[in-house]
Amino acid sequence: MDDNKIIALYINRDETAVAQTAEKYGQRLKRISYDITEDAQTAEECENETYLKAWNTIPPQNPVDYLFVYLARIIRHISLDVCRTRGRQKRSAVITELTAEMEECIPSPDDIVSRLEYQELGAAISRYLYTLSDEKQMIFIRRYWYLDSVETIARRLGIGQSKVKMTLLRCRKGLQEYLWKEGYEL
Amino acid sequence: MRGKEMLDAVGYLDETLILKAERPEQKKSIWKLWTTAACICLLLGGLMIPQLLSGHTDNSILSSINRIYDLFNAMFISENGKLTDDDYIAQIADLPVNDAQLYASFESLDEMIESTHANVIVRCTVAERGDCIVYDPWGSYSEDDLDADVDISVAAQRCLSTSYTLTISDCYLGNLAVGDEITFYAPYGILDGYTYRKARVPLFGVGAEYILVLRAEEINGEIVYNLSYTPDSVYVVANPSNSKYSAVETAEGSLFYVYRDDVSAVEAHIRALVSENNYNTTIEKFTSGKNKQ
Repeated sequence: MDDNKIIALYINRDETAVAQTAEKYGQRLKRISYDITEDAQTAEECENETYLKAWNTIPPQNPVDYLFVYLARIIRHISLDVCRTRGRQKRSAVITELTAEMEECIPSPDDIVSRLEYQELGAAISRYLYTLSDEKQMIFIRRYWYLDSVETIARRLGIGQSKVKMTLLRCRKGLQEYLWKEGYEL
Repeated sequence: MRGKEMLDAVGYLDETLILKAERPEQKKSIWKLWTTAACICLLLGGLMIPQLLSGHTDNSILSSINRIYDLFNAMFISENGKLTDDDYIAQIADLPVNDAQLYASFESLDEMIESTHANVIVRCTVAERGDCIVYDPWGSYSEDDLDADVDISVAAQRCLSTSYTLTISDCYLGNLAVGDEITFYAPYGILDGYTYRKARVPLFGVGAEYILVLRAEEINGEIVYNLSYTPDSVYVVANPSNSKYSAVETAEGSLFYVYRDDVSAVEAHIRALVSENNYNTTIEKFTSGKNKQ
């Protein structure tokens, strides 16, 4: 079923919307969550929460042109939250490490997010990423969106781990400068 | 906390970027993999022939060949075709085929058939579901290994497969006839409480109908059928409501993708591919060897 029809089901409060969504995107969504949580049961729970959240937010949201990405964002957010709140030791350590890496991109000590909507900041980061090569984009997004390990990224791209680490370091520095130049915080 | 918020903000990246990064990379790597592997096989073959002619074989060469088979076997049974498991990666680490560790994916059925050397494509109905066993045609692992020490047990769990008797209703590629029955082993299952990864439900429902892309080989005189590649080798044609597991449940309980396209379109596509391409339907013969380390 195409996305237009699935969205129409949500808007008409037809409960088959969830089943259709699960059928079309369930596997991909669960994969995103599993990569973050590394736990099949948790991934399933996150998947179910994602459907609930979609049910509660469509309408008023109408992600007709980007339903998968809309759901993917939700499940990523939920999965991250689960890792943080449940404090599973191994995954928490990974999230903490990623959080520390992202700290390096913040251009000032002020609380940047309190004055900028997440979406605006996400759009700014996107603009920065569009200035990079495909490979650098891939490395950055696989690390900070999909939360892949450095080893996984290296394997995926067929490059060395040291190259991945170096690219991430340069990307973080570049992003910090970009946000600074864009006037996000001076 | 601010790093946390930055990490959350990354969640709002442009959808094009997110989708682009989700796409499997290394389409070329599978070609490199097969090419490299073919070169290795030729090289090993070249090394072996003089020794075979002289009546001597070098165990290290035989061992290397067995490990290359392991490598392909690992690729075919590992989830999404990725060689992600540490011990498989360790197993092949010193082989000159590092591309095997990379992500393999195919953009078309044609590419998948050619790259995985699929030689049988059938439409079939599941007549019977057998028991889950440790299925290793190469003879490395058996049921007893499930209770062995951790490394061996994990390796044996990877071989857990469930047997199915399939009744052929159409054969698009290969030499099977309508009405033939074949035994087919699908990865995953549960045996004596052992399972591997997310294999909580059997993949195939009894009475359900599928189109399967298979790789047939003759090992020790027995024809062995395996899915040519996961996740792109299973099409669900019909799954009757009286089946214990619905198509969606079985799909979600496994790592295979399920195509719900119009069946006639899928069939037409397959028939066109088979008529346009001269796919090799030869069933290669192998002799298994003990290669347990």
